Amino acid sequence: MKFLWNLARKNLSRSKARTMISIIAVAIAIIAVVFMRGMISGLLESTFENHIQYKAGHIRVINREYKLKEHLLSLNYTVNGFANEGYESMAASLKQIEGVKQVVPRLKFPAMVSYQEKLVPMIGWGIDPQEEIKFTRIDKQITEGRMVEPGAREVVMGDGLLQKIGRQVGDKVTFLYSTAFDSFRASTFQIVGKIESSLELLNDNLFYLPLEQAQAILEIPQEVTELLIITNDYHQADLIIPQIEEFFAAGVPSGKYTWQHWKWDYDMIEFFSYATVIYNFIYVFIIILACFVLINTLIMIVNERTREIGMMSALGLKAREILYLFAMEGMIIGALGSALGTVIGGIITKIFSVVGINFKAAMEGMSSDLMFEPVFYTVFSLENLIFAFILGVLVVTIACLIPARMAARLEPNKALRI
Amino acid sequence: MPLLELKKVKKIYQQGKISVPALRGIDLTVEEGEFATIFGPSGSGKTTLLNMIGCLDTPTEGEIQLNRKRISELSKKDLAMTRRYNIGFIFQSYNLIPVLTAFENVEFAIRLIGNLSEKEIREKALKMLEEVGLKGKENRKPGELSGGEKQRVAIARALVKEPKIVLADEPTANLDSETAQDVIKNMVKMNEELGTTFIFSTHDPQIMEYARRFINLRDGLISSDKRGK
Repeated sequence: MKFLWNLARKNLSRSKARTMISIIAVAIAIIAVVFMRGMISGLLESTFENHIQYKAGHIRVINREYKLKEHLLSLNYTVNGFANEGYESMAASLKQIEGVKQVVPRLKFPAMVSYQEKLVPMIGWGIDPQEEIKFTRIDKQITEGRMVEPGAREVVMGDGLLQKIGRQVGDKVTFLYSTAFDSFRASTFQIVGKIESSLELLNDNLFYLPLEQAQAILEIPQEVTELLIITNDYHQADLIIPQIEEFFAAGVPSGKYTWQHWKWDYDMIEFFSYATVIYNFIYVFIIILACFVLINTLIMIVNERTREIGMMSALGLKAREILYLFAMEGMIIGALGSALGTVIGGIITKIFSVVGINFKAAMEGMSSDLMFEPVFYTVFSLENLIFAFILGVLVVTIACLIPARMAARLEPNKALRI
Repeated sequence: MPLLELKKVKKIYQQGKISVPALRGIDLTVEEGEFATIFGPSGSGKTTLLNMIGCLDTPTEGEIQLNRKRISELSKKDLAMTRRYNIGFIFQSYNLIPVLTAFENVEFAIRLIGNLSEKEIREKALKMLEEVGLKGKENRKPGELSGGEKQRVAIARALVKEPKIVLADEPTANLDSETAQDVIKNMVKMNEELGTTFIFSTHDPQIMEYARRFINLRDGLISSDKRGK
């Protein structure tokens, strides 16, 4: 078969321009696949990361009733231990589970600030600064001032929110809010830091304050609205689910709390999982489109070389060997095109993994709940390059079987008569 | 035992609803080492007969035996194998592979047979090219060879695998008379030296001059079968 391989290789030099066009067609498809896949991965990675950091953790523990009223940020259904002893002992027990790296408490509540005869709505997050920094690296997004310190009467706000209320770092701000007992109150805090983030939630909607301060002003000491369980790798978060299940099954009263895996109980993330599968079909479809150029080229080749196929058949080449010869020609074009596409696609993906892609205009008006970053970065990975290359070679080779079968099916006596 | 035997071979082509008989019942026996020519007017069935003998086509009726093997009932794969090991072809328009050199075109036919070492393949191909007078032109591609030289490469390719029989369809039709003479002499030499059986389909009187058997076809039937010197 080696001599057929050599012949297939040499045959490609018959019409260099035609071979180049076919290679370029495949390469363009592969560039599109590498770039699209890098882009989708980048979009998903950043969305998943934001979803995990600012919404779901790896596994989120909440009060069963809270799940139904979360959109109201109700303070009536909090996490405060099985026997109302407070969240801390529950967090400490969860931390003991093998595979749990961190437990992050958050107390979320609605608040408002009066500015120029208008009330500006926002969300307050009572946090343990140390745990929050360890988990989200939020300190890296503080462009002015510093993060709040435990127990201090201070807040950190997003740049957009500061502009909305006409304040800056160093100013004082008075928040209006309802306590857990529905009393309307106001409290004043010092602004000690400014966050600048492309994520609308962080930049325009929320402020951080120390957990103890939030608990005090809301009159729910030792309570939080959620506990985020963090594992070593979010892809393997489901490995600790049996222990989490066991933990909550053993708690009395049972059924007070529920837990949510970052991937399962969120419609958007589920949609992304389906979208990823659909995108895989789109990648194959893009390559199939390029294959039409190649199939067309190979059909032309088969038609041009009909007599030659007849001659090879007369020499004793079996139909299978003729099929192999033409499939090899297609495969070489596919491999060269895929290699070229992988290299160029890889370079483009690498560039955009550094400079990013700005989708700000397209995302105007989208809900901040979606956790989309308006500027996201493509993911450059060897896995992506290998995937695109193998997919290219595979799809092209399968497509080439169509003209190759045409060649193999030619009757030698008829082929020689052409 | 004859090398080739055809018994009541018929071939009918179907053109839409019309049946066109190309061979109407051929009985023919060819012995080993013969140098025979099949001649006759266009449409008399020469090419069809060569295709049947060359295992490129199967008869509608009748029986063909080549080297004691009934080839009229073989599968496509077995027909290919029979062509590979037993039959050499020489075509009117040479049908060389343009991207391969003269040496590689000849080498291609030997590689199909397998069982030979790289050294043996090389030696055999070079020797055959030398036999047909192409020493020194082994590395030329068909585009760099004259018509006569191309046909000599085709002869070398047909003979290098030492087939039982060589079938040549109008081998000199595209050559000038001097080159044609040269090519025919080459084939005669191979026939005499190697004992290979040659069957031609031709109109060329020069080939007729060298042939030792003359099979005249008319309307799909053998009208005469004479032996010469």
